[in-house]
Amino acid sequence: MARHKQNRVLQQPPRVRGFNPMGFYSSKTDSIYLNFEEFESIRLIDYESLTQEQASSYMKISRPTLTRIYESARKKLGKVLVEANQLLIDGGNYIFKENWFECKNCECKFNNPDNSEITSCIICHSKQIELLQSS
Amino acid sequence: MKIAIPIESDKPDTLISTVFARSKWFAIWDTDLKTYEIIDNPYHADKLQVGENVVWLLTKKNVRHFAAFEIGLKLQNESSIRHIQLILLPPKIKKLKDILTFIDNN
Repeated sequence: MARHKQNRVLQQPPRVRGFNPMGFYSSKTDSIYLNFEEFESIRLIDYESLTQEQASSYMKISRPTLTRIYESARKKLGKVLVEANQLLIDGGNYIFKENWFECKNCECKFNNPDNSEITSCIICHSKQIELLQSS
Repeated sequence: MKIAIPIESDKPDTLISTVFARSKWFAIWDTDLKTYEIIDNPYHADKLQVGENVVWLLTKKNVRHFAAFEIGLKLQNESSIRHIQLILLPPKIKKLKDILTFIDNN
């Protein structure tokens, strides 16, 4: 039986659930799913300009594993751009470095550094908040 | 409670800045008094220690919450930010007044 996948550590959740190409209507079958750890690999390497070694250290995985995740992410992004697919960011094997919450009303996300009780959104004071669960 | 929001200019209808520590201005929004003040960020062009200096500047004004589109990894790993709450704003909030609209409507 295959070895169980280790959870990749994410610093923060993505701001959005995905992207749609302009002027196109994509059906669900055309959607490309970028999982959370693939998004994080793009964020750390392409956006934060870390080396793969540094990024793998943040995600608590080996450098070869990170390389595979990153290459998979780049392939998917290439496909999305060329074929004008909808991109959805969801799924994967991950845990967040700390607790993150999402407000269902204003859609902002926030952490809880002091581990205090969170009952409402910090921006809009809505009580419709949800703890973002790890996989 | 005070929240710091990086902004593009010191005008009331300003856009929220896409960068945090290198933003030239911050709006410090007091949720209890429902008012805000705009302050300069003299450290926005610093080569080194911009994160640490910005955290010091804001915590000096009793800010314990940072709201932005993105808060860079370097700043997140500053030891001084450990007790600061980070808020990731959704794409529909583009201007400073968008946040104020949320308060007024809730």
